[in-house]
Amino acid sequence: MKKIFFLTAIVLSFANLSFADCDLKSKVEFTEPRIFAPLKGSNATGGFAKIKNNCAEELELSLKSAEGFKAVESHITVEEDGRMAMKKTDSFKIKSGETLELVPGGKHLMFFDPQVVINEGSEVKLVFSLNKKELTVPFKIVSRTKK
Amino acid sequence: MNPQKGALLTLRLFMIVITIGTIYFGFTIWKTANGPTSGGDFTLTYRGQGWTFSSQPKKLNLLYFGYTKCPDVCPMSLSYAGDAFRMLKSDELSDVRFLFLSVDQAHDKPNDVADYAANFFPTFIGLSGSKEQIDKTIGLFPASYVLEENPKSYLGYSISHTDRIFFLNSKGVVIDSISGSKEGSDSIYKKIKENI
Repeated sequence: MKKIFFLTAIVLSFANLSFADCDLKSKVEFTEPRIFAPLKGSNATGGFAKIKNNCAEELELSLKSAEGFKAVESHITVEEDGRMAMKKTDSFKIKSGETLELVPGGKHLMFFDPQVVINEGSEVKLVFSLNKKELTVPFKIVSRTKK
Repeated sequence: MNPQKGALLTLRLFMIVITIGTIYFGFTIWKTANGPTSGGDFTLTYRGQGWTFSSQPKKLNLLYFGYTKCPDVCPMSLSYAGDAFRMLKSDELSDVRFLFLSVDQAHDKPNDVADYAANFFPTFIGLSGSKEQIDKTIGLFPASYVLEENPKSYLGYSISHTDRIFFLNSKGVVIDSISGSKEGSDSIYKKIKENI
């Protein structure tokens, strides 16, 4: 019994170490991280990216803050009774080796009430929590509309 | 009764029945093909001023229901529509307009709605109204919206709404529709060309 307990403790400690060893900066890939430039007449805008988890562990990702915005949230767009609805979620889970796709019309990030002028072409630093470790990622501000 | 007269009467009755049957059958087919009609004239506000659909209707009028704080589906639909309008020639543009009606009467200010719609194409018309006007207008169409309280979110609410662009003729009658956010600008452009 003691042996089993001891082995379990060793396995668990290695599991912890494997995540602790996972370098978020190099192991979590953000592709095309972007936020649509806020539009006149609205205080809300959306952010998108593909996020690949190359860590050995499943990651629980939540958006904590975005430079220049008063509030941030994570949302999922769903269709209910023929209507499109937005559902707030606290976090997204990404299994090891899998990619979370934040896309218009699906899972996405939301940004409210810009506190400064946020121009197209600039970058905004987003702070994520990944299994309770922080990761800062720059998101590019892009235009939603064609000129 | 003269058998010849009797036969003639029977033939006449038969012809009447056939004629009535053909008319009824034709009407039923026409009705089925055209589907139930929806739409009509409606009055709202544009930048706080009264605005009536029938005052300056275009040959083709596109109508979408949403709200300005909707960060995903509405701007996606409006940007697709804006891209479709950019594909039109100037003579086509003079026959078509896009109407965006905000169903968020409690939070969307008339000027914000107008500014918001114009972000996507300069001639897009952002409409507001009283709750009665909005509800009366949306009731004319196969559309709906539901305001859901959500105290855990920053806005404190969200609005689920129909995601369709309705194509209206000059009388405001729906002649076609398409998903706003799912089909893309090419499909909207194609529908405009088909209906203009």
